[in-house]
Amino acid sequence: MEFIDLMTNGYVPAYVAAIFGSQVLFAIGQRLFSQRRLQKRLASGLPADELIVTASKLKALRWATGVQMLLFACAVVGVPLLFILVTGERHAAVVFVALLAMISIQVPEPIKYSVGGLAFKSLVAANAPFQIGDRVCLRGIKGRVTGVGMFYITLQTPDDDKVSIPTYALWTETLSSTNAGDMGSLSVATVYLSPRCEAACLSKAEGALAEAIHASPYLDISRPVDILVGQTSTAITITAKAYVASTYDEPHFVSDTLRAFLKSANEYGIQLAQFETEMSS
Amino acid sequence: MTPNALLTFGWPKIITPDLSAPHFLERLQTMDTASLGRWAASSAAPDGVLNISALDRLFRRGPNGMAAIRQLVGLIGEKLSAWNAISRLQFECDAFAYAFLKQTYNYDVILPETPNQSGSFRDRIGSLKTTLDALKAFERDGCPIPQAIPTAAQDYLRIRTTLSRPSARLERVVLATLLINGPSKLDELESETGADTATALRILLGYAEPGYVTFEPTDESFCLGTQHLPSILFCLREKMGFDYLSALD
Repeated sequence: MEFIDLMTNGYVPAYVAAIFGSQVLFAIGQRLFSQRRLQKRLASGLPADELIVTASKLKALRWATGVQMLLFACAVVGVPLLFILVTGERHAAVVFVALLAMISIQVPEPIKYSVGGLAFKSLVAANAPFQIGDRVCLRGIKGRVTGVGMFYITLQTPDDDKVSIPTYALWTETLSSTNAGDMGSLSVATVYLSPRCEAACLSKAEGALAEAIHASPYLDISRPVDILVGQTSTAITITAKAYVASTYDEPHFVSDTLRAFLKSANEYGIQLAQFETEMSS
Repeated sequence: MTPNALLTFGWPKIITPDLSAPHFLERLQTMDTASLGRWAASSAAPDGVLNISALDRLFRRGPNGMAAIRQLVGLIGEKLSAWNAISRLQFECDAFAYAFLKQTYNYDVILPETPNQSGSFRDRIGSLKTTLDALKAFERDGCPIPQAIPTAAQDYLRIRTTLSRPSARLERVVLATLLINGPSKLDELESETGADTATALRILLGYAEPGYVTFEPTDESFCLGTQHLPSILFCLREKMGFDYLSALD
């Protein structure tokens, strides 16, 4: 009877309100902080869009998630202690423990999504399996991460669609990030030479491809360039693996490299594979 | 004897063509070792240092752009005894061109930096980094740029406006090409950036007006203006990802 009284005496609703209220307060505080920062940038003459996309955003995410987790933990653990201290009803502790046990056994959906989302956000902030600005593939959707929230991870796809993926759904998913927090990423370009290409021609082609890669302004010069020779049934392949300085420029990097290589191939008389002729014959 | 590199900032005009890298390569190709040794001894400074300027003009970041500098290094090695008469063979090279040579082809092994360089790029690198840090704080949080920093916020904002647009990809490529290749003629930029004549001219003339790019009528070449270089470096770093200053560390 006493237990039922305690459950209905207003402390429990107040407890639940404190937990959710802390998160609402956090969201309001974060929004105000962002607006203040934006106002400061606008007052300095800067536009709303930011030039810096990577490292500083991870720091901001870590800071914000840390505060959010702290508020959550304080609300869950600290509020019951505060109630008990203020009211002097020591047996109320049993009620809070029983409440937490009930919730953890039969988790209501909103709580599952909220706590799961917050935990996933913390994981992203702490371990950085991907970061804001990364090119990722989540649940089969490829895109650039534009936001990491409590409920959703938002992506901008190559077709400029905004896709929001529920965070709770990502716990059991494979998380793939092309650049893993770096600004650059690995890029691969393959050229196909005629199978009749001799050693000298092959050597020239390897040199031309290496020069073509180094010629691109998109190349990250501080990282290695690999040139690998292979063979298929219809062509000799030369695969170049190099790092592009900004992952968003990868298509331009590959295009630059191939354009420069084809120009050199024409100059040096490098024999390229003739797929159509060989396939038809 | 290992030749050294003295890093320079900006792309100064060649004052003594006879002691510039392109002419030096011609000498290496045409003179025998003994004559070269006599010429080196007579051209060296009183302390025995033979200073050759504009090594950066001897290569271009582009297909087949390394042939001349490779030849230079090869010929220096072939004619080793010519350098017995001098204490050091020193090449002046633009810092960003050197960063490229160092990172891509390991030229710092064959051409290490001259130790204790005074009056060179090494004196400026600290202030350049401070300026970039100030621009980063300004860009991220709107923190005012300190007055001690030579770059004004308005200058930066003007460059940022033109370079940060998604449609300014070719503009960024042109500036990045000028940063490594130094003074460049229109046809060179065309072949290296893939821009057609009209587009390349539009970009260069547009950037010449505020001084981001300067035009040298004597050899009809375009070059980056050093006054706005920190802002250009910052914008290129944030938009294209490369950090040539770090490459020099």
